Amino acid sequence: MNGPFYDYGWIGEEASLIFALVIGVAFGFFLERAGLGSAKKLSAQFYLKDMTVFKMMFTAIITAMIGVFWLNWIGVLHADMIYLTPTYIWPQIVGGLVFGAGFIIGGYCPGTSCVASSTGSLDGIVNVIGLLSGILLFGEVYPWIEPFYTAGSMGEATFPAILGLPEGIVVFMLLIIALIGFKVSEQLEGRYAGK
Amino acid sequence: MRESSTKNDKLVLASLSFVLAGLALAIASPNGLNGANRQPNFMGVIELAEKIKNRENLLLIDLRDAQKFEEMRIPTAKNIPFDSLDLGELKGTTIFYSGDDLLSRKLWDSLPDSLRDQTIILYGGMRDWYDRMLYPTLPFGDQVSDSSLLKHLHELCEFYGGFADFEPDSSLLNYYQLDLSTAKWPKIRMGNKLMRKGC
Repeated sequence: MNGPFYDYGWIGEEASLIFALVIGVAFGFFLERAGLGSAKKLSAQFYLKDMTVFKMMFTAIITAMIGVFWLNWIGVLHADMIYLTPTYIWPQIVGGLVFGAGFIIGGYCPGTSCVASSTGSLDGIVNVIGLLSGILLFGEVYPWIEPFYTAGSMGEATFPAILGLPEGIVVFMLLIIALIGFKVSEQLEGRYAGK
Repeated sequence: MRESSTKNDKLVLASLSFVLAGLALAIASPNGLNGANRQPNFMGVIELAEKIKNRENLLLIDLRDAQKFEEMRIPTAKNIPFDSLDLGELKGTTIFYSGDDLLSRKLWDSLPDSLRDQTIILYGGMRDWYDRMLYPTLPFGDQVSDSSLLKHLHELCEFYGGFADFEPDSSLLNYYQLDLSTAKWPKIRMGNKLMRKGC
């Protein structure tokens, strides 16, 4: 039985939604338990006082990457069947900047604002209202910004394809970058935590 | 304190060795464990269309169910639905196709290496036969990079009873110029099913 289960036809849409619900609940639970429902903890990331967000997210990315790589290698998962969001370089750079500004101003990213709301946090709820309003606004102005939304299309871009390197090498490089990142983040925390 | 530091160093060294061993394994076997990620020999729609037109002796198997086969099929194809295919009966070079490559891919995953060598997959399956051979959108105007390919495609399209649309887009020929010897499985389009997007 190979994965991805949905794309490979092993499970239907209903079952895939149940999987999504279970994974989503688990994701939210662990985000909250890791303390990422706190705006103070999240914003401390930007002042280099608490690098929990960086360490947690990078750990999740690296764990998923290694899992996908090796499951693909042994033939249990077809990584090329996993849906990749297409890259539109210019709107995604702008979107990243808006996201970062919203993160530091509001104190939450979309996922953590939902986590904070579930614990009854008022600022979390306000963030979610802002998030939904932003989506609504985007939908309304989409016809005017569509040319920009689709600018700089690169298709389903991946590092191995862009760099022309085998996937194993790219996984190894990212692993080393992550380890260096963890080490540097520990040093930064040591330097700025008390300030 | 020194003992704990030595223990940590050993742990780091062991982890690094583990990672390097993994890297070596991945580089040594780029096709995965037992060739799990080996790509099949693909045949493009033009090559298949030429072979059928020239009445070449080939075994072409449609893996879809009987109903879909009745609705539309590639000329000379024989219908053996995926679920009733007996691998033991496969002899000689066989070309397989399905609707959107999913059944072909499932078949490929289940084949032993000995049968993989004599198996050819129609790149893009019935979907590409319909979209790229019977009813293709082809380029026109001064930007056409390979006019002989364009003419040949148009002839084949008409031979099989299809018709082509024309647009002033030179990239429309790119699909037909793909090097299938290094191609990977094409992306499966999910039709009207759910589309996944990242957060």
